[in-house]
Amino acid sequence: MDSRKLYNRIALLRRERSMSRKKLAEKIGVNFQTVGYLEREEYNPSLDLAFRVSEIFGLPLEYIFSTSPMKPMSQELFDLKK
Amino acid sequence: MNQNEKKTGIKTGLVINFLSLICTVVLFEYYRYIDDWNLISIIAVSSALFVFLLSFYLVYGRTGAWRQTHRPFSKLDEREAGLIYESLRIAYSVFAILALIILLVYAVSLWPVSIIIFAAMLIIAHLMPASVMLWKFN
Repeated sequence: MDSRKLYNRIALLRRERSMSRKKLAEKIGVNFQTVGYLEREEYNPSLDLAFRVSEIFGLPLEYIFSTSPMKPMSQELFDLKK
Repeated sequence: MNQNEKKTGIKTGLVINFLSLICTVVLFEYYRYIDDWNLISIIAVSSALFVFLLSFYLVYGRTGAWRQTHRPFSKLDEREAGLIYESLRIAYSVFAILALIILLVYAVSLWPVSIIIFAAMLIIAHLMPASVMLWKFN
């Protein structure tokens, strides 16, 4: 079965928190290369890994991962204000 | 060296590695068959073996592919485990077919299976997963 591509905001959230890939990898318990694959959206994480990412960033799952391309943060904030 | 050149280099190395292993086995079996071990035959077998060992170091050693496929599953993260699992699945399907073909050839030709063939099969069994990983998943 072909799985759908998952889009995410991991790279943005990691940079916002001035966190290195290695540091994030240590926190979520994966190899730092896997963080690169996740950020480039070349690998779909398991539900467990997705939850670990959301726990580290302290954000809900649907804010980090999506099945459709993510809107820019500014656009999202603008939509919220409206 | 850019990424594409690196990938091509690794694939070329893989082909050289397998060809040199086949050459080593074929030359050894040939000289064993004609029972003519002289300086030239020893140099020919040794050269093929040297190319195999050198390409093994360059392709599997320096890329870390050998270490990666021989790490315990508990030390791998979910992406790596998935990658190794898929590589093993493909590698052992190919290996099973290869082993059956070799057994058939030896059975039909009524040749005794030599220790070199056994060693080569053992090496191939260990190399295959890393080869699939390097070839298919870069």
